[in-house]
Amino acid sequence: MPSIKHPFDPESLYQVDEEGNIRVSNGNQWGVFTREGRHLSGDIRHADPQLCVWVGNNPGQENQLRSTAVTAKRTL
Amino acid sequence: MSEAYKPLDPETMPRSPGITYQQLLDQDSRSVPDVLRLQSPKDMGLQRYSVKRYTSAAWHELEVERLWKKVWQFTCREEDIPEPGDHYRYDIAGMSFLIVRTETGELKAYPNACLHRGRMLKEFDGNAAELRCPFHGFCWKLDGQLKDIPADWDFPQINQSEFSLPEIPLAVWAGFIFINPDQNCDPFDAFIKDLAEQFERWNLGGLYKQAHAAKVMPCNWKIAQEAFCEAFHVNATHPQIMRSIGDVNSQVDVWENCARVITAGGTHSPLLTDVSNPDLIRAMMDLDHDAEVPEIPEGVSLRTFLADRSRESLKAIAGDRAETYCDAELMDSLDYTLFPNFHPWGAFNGIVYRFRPNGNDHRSSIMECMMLAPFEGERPPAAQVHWLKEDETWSSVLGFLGKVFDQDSFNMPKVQQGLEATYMDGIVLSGYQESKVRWLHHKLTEWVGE
Repeated sequence: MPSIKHPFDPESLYQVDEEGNIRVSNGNQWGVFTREGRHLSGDIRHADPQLCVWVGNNPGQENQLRSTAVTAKRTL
Repeated sequence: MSEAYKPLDPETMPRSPGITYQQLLDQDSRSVPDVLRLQSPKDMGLQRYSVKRYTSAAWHELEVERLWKKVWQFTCREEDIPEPGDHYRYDIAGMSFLIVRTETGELKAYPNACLHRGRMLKEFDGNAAELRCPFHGFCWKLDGQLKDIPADWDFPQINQSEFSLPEIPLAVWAGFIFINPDQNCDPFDAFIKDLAEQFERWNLGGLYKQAHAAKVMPCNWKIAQEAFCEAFHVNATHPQIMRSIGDVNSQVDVWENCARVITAGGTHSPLLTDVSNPDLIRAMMDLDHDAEVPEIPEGVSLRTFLADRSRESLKAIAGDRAETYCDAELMDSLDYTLFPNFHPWGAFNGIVYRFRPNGNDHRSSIMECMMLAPFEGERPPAAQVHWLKEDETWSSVLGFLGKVFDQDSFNMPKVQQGLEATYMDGIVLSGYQESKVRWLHHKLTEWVGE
């Protein structure tokens, strides 16, 4: 599942869960958020909405208009 | 140069801690072109700009009368209408124009309106041997001369030799077709001069349009545009790339009719400390937090390593031309803006943005992204525009870049709503980092007024 640690808070790990929501964990604490950053459950009540937008945004390759340089960052 | 722009000394002006862009260029493994060594920081004051510029229908109407009806503006690429009879419909703020390739290959622009009862001549882009009105059948040749009036005995008042379609000023730069709705406008050469000089090395005319996406955005066109005119927003809007770009130490340069923001890649934000090379690479490649990354060879800088990889990838589509680019041209975002709304990127990126009002709705706009690419041999056909629906993401068609756009787009309607709700009378802009936004507003003041 896609995951990223927050640059300003490297202990906070943002991951996409099996339902497509964003799970934020920090040590033993966690919270679950929508892909826009709205809190759903858990002790961690606040997440960076833009990092939720980012980590939850995983487009397929089938409709991409350009197959080379657009995706070059991933395949560098 | 406007007297409102006071040159700043790059050596003594206030700026971010951390390495400067020019210092990064000193570390390039290749010779750096002169255009990247230019520096043109400007002091344009610290004034606020009225919120009405984004929220007022009356201000939009002034914009239409004083700006959109008077200014040179990009319409389409030459390659969008390669054959005689090809035509492109360009709409701006309630106006509509036809850009036409004539039988001799010449380009012409006309108001998209029949000279009889005013019906729009063409609703769609396409190809036609003549321009015949679907209402009563008045017809013009591609070069604008009158071809046919059905039952012309009934129009004795029309002098047929003088009943040509009005010509709109048209000019081409680097494959981009510009028009000016004002038939008495200033010459295009002076308008494009600043930008054209700086793009001599990058020859965007030699690229083809590989992709073109557009979407109606729920915000004023300036809100959408200004989201792409500074790198200061990266720390909050795109935190995931802070490990791999220099945001607040971007270089901002302002000239009379164009401006640029150069944001370095392969270096980390000065707002972060202790970013490891593997984390920088993961951020750059959009890899998971624990993904394995390639090792950097001893004695090679990270930027050079990444530029070499990028150069190798580019060779597949650009051939030996890729070898002529320095590290900075392969790694950095060279985001130019030509007033009022044309945004070509420098170097190999081939990215071009355009932002414009959506008809006369001042609370919505059209955002477009074109991607130009090198080719070898015969020019491939230009991509047609792909319109995204309201619920479709930019990432669904533009991958990594689209993911970044989706974060910007996440802000846009909230900026519009916030500006409608705010008690402040004007937006606040920084002195340097947001000086391209300030330049745009200075230009708007010149054209539209306060």
